[in-house]
Amino acid sequence: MTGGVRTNLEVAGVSLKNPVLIASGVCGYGLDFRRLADYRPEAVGGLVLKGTTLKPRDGNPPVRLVETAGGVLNSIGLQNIGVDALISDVLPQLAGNSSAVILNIAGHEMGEYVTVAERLAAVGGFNALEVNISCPNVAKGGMAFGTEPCTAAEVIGAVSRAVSGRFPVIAKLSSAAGDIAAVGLACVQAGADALSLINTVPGMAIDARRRRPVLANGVGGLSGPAIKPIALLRVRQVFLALKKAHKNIPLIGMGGIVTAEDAMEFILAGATAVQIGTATFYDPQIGARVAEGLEEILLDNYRCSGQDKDLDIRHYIGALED
Amino acid sequence: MENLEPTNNQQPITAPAGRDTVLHEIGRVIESLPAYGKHHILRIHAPKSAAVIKPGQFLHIYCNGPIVQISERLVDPVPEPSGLKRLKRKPLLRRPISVFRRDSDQGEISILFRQVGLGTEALSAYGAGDNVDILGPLGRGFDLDGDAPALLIAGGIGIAPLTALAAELLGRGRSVTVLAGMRDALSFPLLLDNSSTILGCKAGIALMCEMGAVSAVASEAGEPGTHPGLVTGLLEIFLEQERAEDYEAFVCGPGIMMARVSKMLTEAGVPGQALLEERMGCGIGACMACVCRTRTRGEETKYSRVCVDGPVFDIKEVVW
Ligand SMILES: Cc1cc2nc3c(=O)[nH]c(=O)nc-3n(C[C@H](O)[C@H](O)[C@H](O)COP(=O)(O)OP(=O)(O)OC[C@H]3O[C@@H](n4cnc5c(N)ncnc54)[C@H](O)[C@@H]3O)c2cc1C
Ligand SMILES: Cc1cc2nc3c(=O)[nH]c(=O)nc-3n(C[C@H](O)[C@H](O)[C@H](O)COP(=O)(O)O)c2cc1C
Ligand code: FES
Repeated sequence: MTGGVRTNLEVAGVSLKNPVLIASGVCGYGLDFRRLADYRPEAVGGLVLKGTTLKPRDGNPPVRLVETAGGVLNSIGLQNIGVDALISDVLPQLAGNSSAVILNIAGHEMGEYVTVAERLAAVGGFNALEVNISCPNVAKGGMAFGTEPCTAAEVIGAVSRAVSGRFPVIAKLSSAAGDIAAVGLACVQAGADALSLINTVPGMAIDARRRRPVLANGVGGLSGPAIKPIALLRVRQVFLALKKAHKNIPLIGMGGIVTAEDAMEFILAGATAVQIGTATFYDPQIGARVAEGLEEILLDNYRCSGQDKDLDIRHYIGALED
Repeated sequence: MENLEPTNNQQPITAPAGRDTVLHEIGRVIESLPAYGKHHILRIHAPKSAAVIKPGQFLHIYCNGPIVQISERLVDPVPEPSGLKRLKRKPLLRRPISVFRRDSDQGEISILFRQVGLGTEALSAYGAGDNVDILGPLGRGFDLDGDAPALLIAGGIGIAPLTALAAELLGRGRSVTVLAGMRDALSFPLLLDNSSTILGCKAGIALMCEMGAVSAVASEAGEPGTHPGLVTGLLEIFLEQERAEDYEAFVCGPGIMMARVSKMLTEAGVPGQALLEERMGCGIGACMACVCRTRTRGEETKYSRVCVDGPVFDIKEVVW
């Protein structure tokens, strides 16, 4: 922190050094980045680990990822090591991590979400549980849970009961929901302690020469700068709906963040914290850079206004003037 | 590894065993050389990477100017390569490119690439003095522990990593035979000459000859001196004429070519390693984008990450 600037805050009871988290799916289990000579894990608010299911998953055949205009389309298909390996091999290595560790879980069916959540809550060693009800890559279940308020509420309710207050539960919403505000509200009513949004946007890329989809899976999820306007609108919609319903539940915004200015836009729209995904691919230090950039923005604002509150990131949350 | 201390003001972090520390280096282009057809060579001054990179390892290159620390940006602005301004669209992701040659004394790395899309087009717009943003060295390079004579089999741009390998093997005193395939003389990035003395072929690769390797070239267009047809045709003759099982093979090229070559080698009892390519996101093992199917002990198969488990695999390990 520099010159009276304050960027640390709490999200659903989790203390964060700053509001910048690395999104699920781009930082693996948080260990690969440690090979970077200039890695500064303490410079971000936290890591969200790869979506984990009950059994290890193989994922989709390659090609799994392709760059499109201003974005990236992926169909990893949730390749992951499964909850048992997460508990035995990964969590011990993350003990004492210098920033928050949030686990992300996914499932084919309700029972899978519940079992995974129960096992994790029983062992601990992390700060919060993000429930992916919005992954567009899994044929069975996956996104289907996140597009309708009642099924979303069922999953989040069951997971919340399984965790029974030991850890905050974050519901990760899909951009593909017809009425995302309704899904968000339903999740909150079902016990979510925070909402994160948005997951990737369903899309496809075509190789005209070969007359085939580029991704072996055909369909993928779009991320990166291309989806930022969609994500900002979704965050704003959910923020206003929660406000109207007098629900004081924090939002974690994401989708196309590459600069501190992008992050500030999400905060103004109503996000308490943000996550960065795709941009870590070209800049593994992007989290630290955005966090430092936020401090600079606060300092600049303070220099202009002379008001102390402009130095505190919390005063910007949802402060968009409509 | 020596001289790779993490930068100051942070807790020391050790890399997982067996995997190299990954450096972020802003290299400087010494020279940009258009090669044949759509090929390009960039000579880059990148002393930190040049000191440690091994043949078969790759650099993850940001083809859109340098990424700099916010604090550094204020003090010492790093200019964007001027050639990038001509591009219609700019690439977002880094692009994996192999080391083609290196000179650790001069702190220099060369890359040889073929312009196929946005990223490689941007890279070919870099000129002398431009800054190149590099993450590396990445991946497991070739296993160099053997001492058998080496048989290098290249398809097209696959010659790039195999050139770095040839230099290293020759330096270790191993004999090197190169079989290279190309569509036509223009689709091949390196200069051909009449140095070949093997397999009834006159056309060889000038650079390989200079380094002390023997080479033979197959061309689908059938230019004079070349073996007319595919590199697999050259390999067939080699397998007939030589005691191939005494060799160790190193393969890099298009997927179909590597699959056919691996099958021929395995049937002939020749051990080998192949360098695979796949589209990448992170390049450091975190995103699971870059997988290929591999066979572990017995019949079990799984997806392995080309960026950390490879890009070099035992040819028997890959499910082609
Ligand atoms: C470990 C590794 C080492 C490599 N070394 C070299 C090298 O030394 N020289 C060189 O010219 N190329 C090399 N490549 C391939 C190079 O990375 C791709 O050609 C490049 O990423 C294409 O980017 P682009 O934006 O120009 O093309 P895009 O617009 O992304 O794609 C154009 C075409 O290139 C193909 N392609 C895209 N990405 C890849 C990829 N990662 N692997 C294979 N094909 C791809 C696609 O089929 C597509 O049709 C290497 C790839 C890997 C994985
Ligand atoms: C390669 C890749 C893998 C991802 N895997 C997951 C995942 O396992 N679980 C999940 O909830 N989100 C996953 N996501 C979505 C991201 O967490 C994030 O919601 C999305 O990419 C939007 O943010 P961005 O534009 O900053 O990337 C993945 C995204 C990418 C690009
Ligand atoms: S590119 Fe991300 S795991 Fe290989």
